[in-house]
Amino acid sequence: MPLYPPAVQTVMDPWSTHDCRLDWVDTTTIKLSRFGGQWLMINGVRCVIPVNGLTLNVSALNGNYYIYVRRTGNAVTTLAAAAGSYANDNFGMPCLNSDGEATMVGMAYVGGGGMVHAGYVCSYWNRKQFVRTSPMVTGSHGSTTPIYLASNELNIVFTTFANEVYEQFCCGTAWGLDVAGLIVYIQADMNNTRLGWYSAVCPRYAGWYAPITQKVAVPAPGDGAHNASIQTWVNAPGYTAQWQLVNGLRWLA
Amino acid sequence: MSLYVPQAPTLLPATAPEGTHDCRLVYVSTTQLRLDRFGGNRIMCNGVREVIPAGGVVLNAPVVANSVAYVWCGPAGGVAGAALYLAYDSPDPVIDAYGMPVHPTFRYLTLVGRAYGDGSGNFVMTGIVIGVVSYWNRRWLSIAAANSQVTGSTGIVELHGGNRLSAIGFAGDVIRCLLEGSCLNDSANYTYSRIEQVGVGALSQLGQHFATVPNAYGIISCHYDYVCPAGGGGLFITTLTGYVNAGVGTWYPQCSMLVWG
Repeated sequence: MPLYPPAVQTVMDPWSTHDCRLDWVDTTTIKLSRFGGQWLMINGVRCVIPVNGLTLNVSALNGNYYIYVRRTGNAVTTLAAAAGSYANDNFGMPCLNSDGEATMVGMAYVGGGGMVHAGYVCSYWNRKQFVRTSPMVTGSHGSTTPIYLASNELNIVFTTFANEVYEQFCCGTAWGLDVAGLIVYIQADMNNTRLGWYSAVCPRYAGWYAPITQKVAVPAPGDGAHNASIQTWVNAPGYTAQWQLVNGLRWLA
Repeated sequence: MSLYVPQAPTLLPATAPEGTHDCRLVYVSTTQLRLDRFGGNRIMCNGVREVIPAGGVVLNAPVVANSVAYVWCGPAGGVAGAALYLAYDSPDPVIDAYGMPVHPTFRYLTLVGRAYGDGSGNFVMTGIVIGVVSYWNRRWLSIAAANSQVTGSTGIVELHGGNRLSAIGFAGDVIRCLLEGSCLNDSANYTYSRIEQVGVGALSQLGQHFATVPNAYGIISCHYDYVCPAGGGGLFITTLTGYVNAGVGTWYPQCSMLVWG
């Protein structure tokens, strides 16, 4: 009795392999490394990823890019960036702009002056959870329409694929500075659009602190870089509130 | 005297089957699910690496009404190389000799997902229901609802009724519920809130807010992680409940639910 059923593949039979992860190295460099193996399929050929991976200098780029690889024979030899779109090739692997030899491995956002942090790089394969938090921001104003605090320092820029879910968590305190019973609001914001419902508190006396939190889980609206921030406001004109907040984000990168 | 012959090392032929699951089950419409290629074009069924067609494999509704069951993929008639099809059936999977989760009776059917059939046997994937989850190549799925509710009830009542959030999962999977927002009372009274699972009961303690002056807002913040039981369980439904000790309370809740699917 054979150990295995009749042969169902030949040695040359392509099979999907993506033993890699795209990651941030420093402000000018991203890298494709081996992860859980050494193979990556390009145009139906299982290619070897170099033992030290492949790097790409992004200092001349500006904007959102897909990151892709090319091969020479059965070796992965090139890591490059391009705009455009991707779709499955005949072997079920995502290729860029209908070029079967350009296998997509991730995305990167390059801002002016290069890449600022690891959250701007998003691997397509073997992704990991990533968390970023803003600095603690203290700001005060009396706007009755939603606005950002202190030059929008709570904003977190991150890169992800469309419909990938991220979780935003904001917490801190809020209080009315000069009047009792002022209602003080916060609301999560995605790409300048407020999400869902606000959270509000109403400290009994002027200067009384109240805890305030908000936590939402939302799918990203598209591929690329997004902004996740917090908007703030009060209910009555002529009075000032103060907020002390931290914004956080968790997503797959 | 016995002759001891050491066991020969196991040599894997080049043709040895490898566990392969280059696919993701996705919702297409109320009447259709589809198994798409993802990161490759093969799925192993009964030790054979079958090719998933470029256009995917479709499962048409209706399925069993008001049911939650597994979705399976295999070659027609169990014949290697035959056209792949999807089946909807409830027995828990077993692991076959190749390490793949398969149907306990029809071993050529490999587990690919789980789905919910509504009262008409249709598939559901809406802003408040996650009724389809893939077994392979999953990602986080989320739904959310935000609506205001008012009550003067001094006994606990449902406050999120129109926007219950529902999801399915696999045994051991975590379904995450985040309930946030604000509440108030029109006089200096208490307002109570908690998150509940429909048909089961409270998932959190009652959060208490005292309106120091009429209509003073307070924070609602109830989080709960639910681990799907053996077999995956049925449709997991959460909602917000609460009451007041006096006066009239208003709730502005926002509830999110996350599933790895």
